[in-house]
Amino acid sequence: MIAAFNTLLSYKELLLNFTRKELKVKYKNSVLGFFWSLLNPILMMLVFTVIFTIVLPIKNIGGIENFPLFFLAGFLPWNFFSATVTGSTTSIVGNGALVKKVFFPRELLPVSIGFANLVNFALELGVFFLFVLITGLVSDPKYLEFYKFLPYLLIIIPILFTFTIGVSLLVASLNVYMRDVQHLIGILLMVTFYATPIIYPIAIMEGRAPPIYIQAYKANPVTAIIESFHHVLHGVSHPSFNLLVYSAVVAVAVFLVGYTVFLRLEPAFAEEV
Amino acid sequence: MAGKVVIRVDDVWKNFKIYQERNLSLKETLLRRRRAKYEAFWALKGVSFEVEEGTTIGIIGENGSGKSSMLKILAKILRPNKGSIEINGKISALLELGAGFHPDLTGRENTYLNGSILGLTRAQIDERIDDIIAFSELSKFIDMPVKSYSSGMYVRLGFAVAINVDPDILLVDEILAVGDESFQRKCLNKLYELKEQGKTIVVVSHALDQVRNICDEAIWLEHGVMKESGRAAQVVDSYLEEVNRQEESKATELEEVEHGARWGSGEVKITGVRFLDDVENERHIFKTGERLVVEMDYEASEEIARPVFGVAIHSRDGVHITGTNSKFSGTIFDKIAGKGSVRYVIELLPLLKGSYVVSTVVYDFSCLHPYDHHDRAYMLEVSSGELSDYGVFHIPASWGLHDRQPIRELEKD
Repeated sequence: MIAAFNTLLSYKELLLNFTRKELKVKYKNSVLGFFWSLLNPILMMLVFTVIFTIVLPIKNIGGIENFPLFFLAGFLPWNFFSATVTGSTTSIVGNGALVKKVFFPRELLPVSIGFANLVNFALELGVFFLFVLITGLVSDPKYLEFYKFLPYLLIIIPILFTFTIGVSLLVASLNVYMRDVQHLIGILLMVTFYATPIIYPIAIMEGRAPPIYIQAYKANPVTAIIESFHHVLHGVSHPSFNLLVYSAVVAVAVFLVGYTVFLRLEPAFAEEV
Repeated sequence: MAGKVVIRVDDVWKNFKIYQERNLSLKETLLRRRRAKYEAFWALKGVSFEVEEGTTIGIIGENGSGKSSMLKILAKILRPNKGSIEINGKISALLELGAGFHPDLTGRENTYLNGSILGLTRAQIDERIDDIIAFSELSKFIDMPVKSYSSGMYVRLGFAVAINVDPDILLVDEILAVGDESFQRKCLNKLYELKEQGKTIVVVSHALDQVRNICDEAIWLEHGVMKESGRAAQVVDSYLEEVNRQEESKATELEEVEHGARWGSGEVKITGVRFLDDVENERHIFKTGERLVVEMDYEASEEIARPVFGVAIHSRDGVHITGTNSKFSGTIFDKIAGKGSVRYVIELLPLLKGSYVVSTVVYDFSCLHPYDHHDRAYMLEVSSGELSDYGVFHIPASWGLHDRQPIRELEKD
């Protein structure tokens, strides 16, 4: 695996070019182009805000202040995860022509999708900070402290990235052998979305199910990562140390498993796609 | 030439899984609790060779002989199941030109992307972009998305990028079938240029003339085994010889599998049909002007009075060239019973080069009741031999200058 890392490093220019291609191609023929990646989370936020503050108000159950901010704080990292995993699933199969004809480390394909989405994520966070300035400061003086906790993102985002790439490598390589993965992944992502406190606060789960289920629910690494984001971006507080360690350990483990499986399956990609 | 060895292939084996029924779905995999059934197909069976620096080497062989697999193994796209390869130098493969072009990106953007896939850095591409565009002859279109390119333009750009990678070792798969005549010539020139610069080139091609001309050496693969290697011209010649031999025997196989329609009441059956030459050898390829005997074995289950045997010849595209029978020719067989054979003898085969299909029939004397009719069931190949006539038929004739005094002179007299 160390050898694989070294090869990867020597291909960093190609990785950059693939990433650039991903970004360019995504919005090539749309009028609003790049703004879609910013518009999308804002529109989603509006939809869920209307649903949960007007149609099915959950404000009182969870006691969340500033639901739009809460939603974005969890949804933006989720969006990064979900878009990267979805895109990676078909990245090897979809580039079959390339994989069959040219040699390059195949992991560049899913990894470049991860980097492209990371760029999107960074821009979205930029817009989010503006949003905090506008709505947060008006509603609650605690947001004056907001910037103090931002450095935590430098720990949380790499954890999110590592975890996401691990899952992506796994699904990308499995999908070469079983195309069911690409169908299954949509459903799994939807289940995970609802099983993660993104549109509701984690607190509302307490007492709703036997403790063992709650334990399982909290063990979800996505939940751990999203909760850290909630702490920093919505709660204006330190993420819990335990959560950080837990999610970091899981992220590295998932990455190692994903990459190992990928490297194991990779030699036959050219024959199987 | 005792140069440095830059490619060393040592006992390389490669197999592919041929799935009978490919189950890519989870359900099937779970239900059967194993992967789909497959047969291993060995594309390469212990191939070894070495290539010295600066050599141009051709890999030839029929389809499915393992040529392209060999090339892909050299390009590191496929990994051998057994054996090893060793490559010293930067390799560039012209396998699929323009593989990896993204339709929505412009020619220029794709050049950068494709260049970096092939291992060039941005700075190197910056340096070469003008050459690449000039070579592709696409300067007017280079900033348009490649989805608006014609397939020819697409391949030209692909070739231009790949050829400018400036590798030590170039792998080429049938590239000279690219673009129009003038572009092909340009590619060929570029290849000669690289060859003169002392690059090592590996070519897979069906264009044997090109292999003979460009390559110093050649390898002939047959069903994954190296059948011959050595000087290009020599290997190409022995390969051609073998192909001709095989065509001869393939025709026999065809005849046994291919059976057109057959009908009849069966009192007499045609049990075998053979094409014999002048020394009674069975053959399927004849030359124009040779003697051809169509021999039909028959078996009559009862005594049959005055049967009529017939033969018809069709061209492959369905033209009925001739149809005749023993009755038309005035030959009357009084009666037949049991087994025997009948011969239809063509002393000088008038058919020209081409593929023909022969029907053989046996009818009753009225020619209305078929006993056994083998419709277009037997393949016959004709090669022209010494003749270069066009068409289907050779009409025996001669040319001559007719010596006659010019008319004017006659008038003067």
